[in-house]
Amino acid sequence: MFIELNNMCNISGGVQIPGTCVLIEGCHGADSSFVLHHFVSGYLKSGFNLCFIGLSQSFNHYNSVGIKLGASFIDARENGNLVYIEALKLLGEEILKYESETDMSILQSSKLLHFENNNHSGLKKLYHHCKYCVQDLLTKHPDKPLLLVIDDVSVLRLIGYDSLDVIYFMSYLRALMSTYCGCLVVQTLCDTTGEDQDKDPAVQHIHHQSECFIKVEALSSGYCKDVHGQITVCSRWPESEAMKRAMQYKIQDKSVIFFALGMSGAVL
Amino acid sequence: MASSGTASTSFQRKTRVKIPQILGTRPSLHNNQLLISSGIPSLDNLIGGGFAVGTVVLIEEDKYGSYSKMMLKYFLAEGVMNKHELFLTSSDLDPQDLLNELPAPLLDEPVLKTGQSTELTDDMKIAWRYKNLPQVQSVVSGVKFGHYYDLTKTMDPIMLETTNKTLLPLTDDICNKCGKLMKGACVEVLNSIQQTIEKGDFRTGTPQQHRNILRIGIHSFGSPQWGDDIKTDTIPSMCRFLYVLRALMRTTYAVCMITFPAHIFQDTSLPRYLQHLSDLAIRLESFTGSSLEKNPAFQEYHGLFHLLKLPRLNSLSCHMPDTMDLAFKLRKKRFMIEKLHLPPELSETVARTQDDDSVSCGSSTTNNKLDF
Repeated sequence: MFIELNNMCNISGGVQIPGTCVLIEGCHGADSSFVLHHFVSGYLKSGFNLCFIGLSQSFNHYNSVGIKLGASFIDARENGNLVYIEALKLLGEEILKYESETDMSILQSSKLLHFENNNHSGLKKLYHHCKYCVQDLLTKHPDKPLLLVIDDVSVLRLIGYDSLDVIYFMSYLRALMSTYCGCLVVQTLCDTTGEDQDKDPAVQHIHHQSECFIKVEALSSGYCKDVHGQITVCSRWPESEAMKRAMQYKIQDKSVIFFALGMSGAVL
Repeated sequence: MASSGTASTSFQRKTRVKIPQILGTRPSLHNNQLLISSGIPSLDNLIGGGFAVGTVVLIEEDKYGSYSKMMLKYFLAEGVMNKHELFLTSSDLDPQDLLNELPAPLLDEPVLKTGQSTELTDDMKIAWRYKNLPQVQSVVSGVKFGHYYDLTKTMDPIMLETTNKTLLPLTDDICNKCGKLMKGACVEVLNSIQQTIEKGDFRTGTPQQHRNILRIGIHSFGSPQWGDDIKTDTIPSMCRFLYVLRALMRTTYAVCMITFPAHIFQDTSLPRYLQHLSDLAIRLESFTGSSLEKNPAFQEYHGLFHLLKLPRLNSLSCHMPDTMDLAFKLRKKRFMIEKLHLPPELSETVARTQDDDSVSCGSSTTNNKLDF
């Protein structure tokens, strides 16, 4: 989609190597969703099968942005190219149901949620649901490559899943993707105010596992209308050199402008 | 002249996107999102037109909670003016008391203008040429977006009577209950909001003749009066509440405003988490009781207004205001948010101190001839 971003990530042809993982980390005060939109619409346009776990936004949001970037989610879903798991809606409903329900047998049969866990299997059901969706996609379009997207995995931590739960969940997804030669794009929140503070172990784990790491942060010098933030990309794709690049960006209605640090038109 | 007359009719916006026309709403220029007014026109301008329908607005209270309460009142008063349905809950004070204190609107014209436009067409004599032209969307022109309020007066109780409202006072009985994943009070509030949504049919997707907006106000969310978390930790419990609320709002014609006393929580990461789960986040920093109160730079203002997060809905970009250096002040009759600027250097006090400095830099004796 945004060619500069692909160049920064060292991705040739707009598509990452199968079986690899990209982590998008949005720091506090900056919004990393444009990077996610970039990947999702780019892959959708290149004819990927897409399994989308939407933990923080609704389907309509992604569809509207997708149309602006030239990839309709509704069309893709009708063609069987896209499965959108409305995790926000489902989890919200199930938390409420869990509260009001007293009958334990009904709770056991719930589709996604499993809160009272002792052996860190809280996200097992969500994983099985994903696995089912992925297999379903592949039976419809077996010839097409696969992408799995998680929109904000940090939400799982916030609503009370243990970091080990999330680590297991992510490891299983990664294993699933490697069996089907699929790519993984994960968005998360980076919650560190200072540099010395410890990161969430779950985020650290995903960071360690991913081949490309994209960090979006606000300008350290403060708010500016014409420079929206800074993006740092560390890539270590197999069989190519590790690279680290930083750029600043400005988000526009349908595109994003990237420029070298301090080289914005507003400053020069 | 005639050609200009016909040109004016073709000069209409081509909006094919179907947006329901509801009193007190307008579509956003950015992303076709339906907006409602916050009740404070300066705030509406700042955030790109108003609160988007389907979002959660989080306000971190100032130390004594007075200004955040005022913003909540404005939000509710605007709802009353537009006949929106209200939902209000609080544990610290009785919701009915809060409603009774709503500011009175400043009306320079009659409240209801419906039916007036049809009468006008009969006695229109001067511009007879325009008679045959189709009426320009009368619904839109009739809708007034945002009102001004007078804080010195309270709203007419009759106007309050006519609005649909659900009040949920969080009594001790509710707060002492304890839920499995959240505080008992949280569960009660969520269930009550869900019932209100079902009852008023505010869900998106269901076709309905008379759409209305639900305004939800949650005062002092998570304050000690909301009860203790016995089974769960504070952070996941409060995050879950906001997450469920977000999920509910996304499919509803509603806007939820939460005021949240951030300063009483020891854990500094909690406000950040809650901001992450809300769409629009604001922090009020009042000067009351702080050293800034007497700072000459801030003498015009009552506090700083931090815009922490702007909603990013259905679009890649979000509204970017010119500056984030904002402050609020409370005039006798109204509350306003402005760009922070330093006072002009007119005051005698500042100039005089500088003069004093220059004198002290010179020699102490004034009658020295070498002095210049």
